[in-house]
Amino acid sequence: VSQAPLFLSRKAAFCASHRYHNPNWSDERNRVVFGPCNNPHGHGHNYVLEVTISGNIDPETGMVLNLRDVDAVIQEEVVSRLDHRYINLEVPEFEQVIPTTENLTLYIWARLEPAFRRAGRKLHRVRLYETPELYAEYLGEDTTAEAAS
Amino acid sequence: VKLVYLTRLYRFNAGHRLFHPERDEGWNERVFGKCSTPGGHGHNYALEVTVRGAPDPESGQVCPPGELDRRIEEQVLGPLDHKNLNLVLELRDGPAPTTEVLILELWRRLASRVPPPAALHRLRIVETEKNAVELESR
Repeated sequence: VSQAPLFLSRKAAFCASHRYHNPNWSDERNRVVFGPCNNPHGHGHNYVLEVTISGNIDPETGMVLNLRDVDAVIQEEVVSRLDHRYINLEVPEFEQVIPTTENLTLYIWARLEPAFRRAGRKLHRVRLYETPELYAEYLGEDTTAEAAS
Repeated sequence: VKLVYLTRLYRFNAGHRLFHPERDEGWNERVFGKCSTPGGHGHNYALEVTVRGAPDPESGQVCPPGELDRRIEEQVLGPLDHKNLNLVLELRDGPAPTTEVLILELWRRLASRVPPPAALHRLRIVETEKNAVELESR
C-alpha cells in the first residue's frame, strides 16, 4: 500500500551557555551588534530541541520509529555533547563558529541527519528554541532554495 | 544554500468589533455572532514572525534580532497595542478586522521591512487558544 510519509516529532531539552563574539571585530562593534549576548563571561539558556523525522509506518510496530530509538539518537548526538557545557569552549565545532541559534541548528542537523539515515529514516526538520519567544529551524539544503531566490 | 528559518514571538492586546456596516443587524448577527456585539471586545494577540536566510558568516545570524524587534515595534506593536483595530487599521481586504484581514495588512507592512538579507517567510497570529491564522510566502 503506497502511503504518504508521516512526520514524527520528539522534544529534548538541554541547558548550555554561550557567548556571541566575533574576534575579527572591535569590542565596540561586538557590543553594538550582539548587545548583552556579547557580555564577556557568557550566559545560558534552557534550550528545547524539536526533532521531526519522516517515514512510513512500520507494519510490525505501527510506528514510524520507536521513540526509544529517537531518544537514544538525540541523546548520543546532541544532548550528551551540549548539555551543561559552555559551547564556545567545550564543543570543538564552535571554536571558530559563533554559537547562535541558527548555527546550532546547522550543527544539530549535521549530527542527526546521518544518524537517522543509518536507521533508515529521514530527518525532516530541526527546530531549536533558545527561549519560548525565539527559535530557529533548518530543513536541510535545497528544500526551499528556489523560494529564496 | 543553507537556509535557516528564525521565528520570534511578539504579543499585543487590542480591541475590535466584527461588523459589516452595509449589512443589517440580522446579517451581522448571523455571520459574526457575538464578535459583532456593539461595544466590541478584545484579545491578547500573539504574533509569530518567521524570517529566512543563510546565517551571515560574520555574525552567525539570519538577521539582527534587535533590528527585527525595532521594525516590529514600529510597524505593529506601536500602532496596534492597546488600540481599537476598527479605527487604526485600513480595512483593505474585508469589512472588519478579522484575524485574516489583520494578517494581510501586517504582511503588507512587514514584507519589505525585514532586515536584509533575510526575507519574510511566515506570519502567524494567534487570536485565542483556539484560533490561529497563518500566511506563508511561496
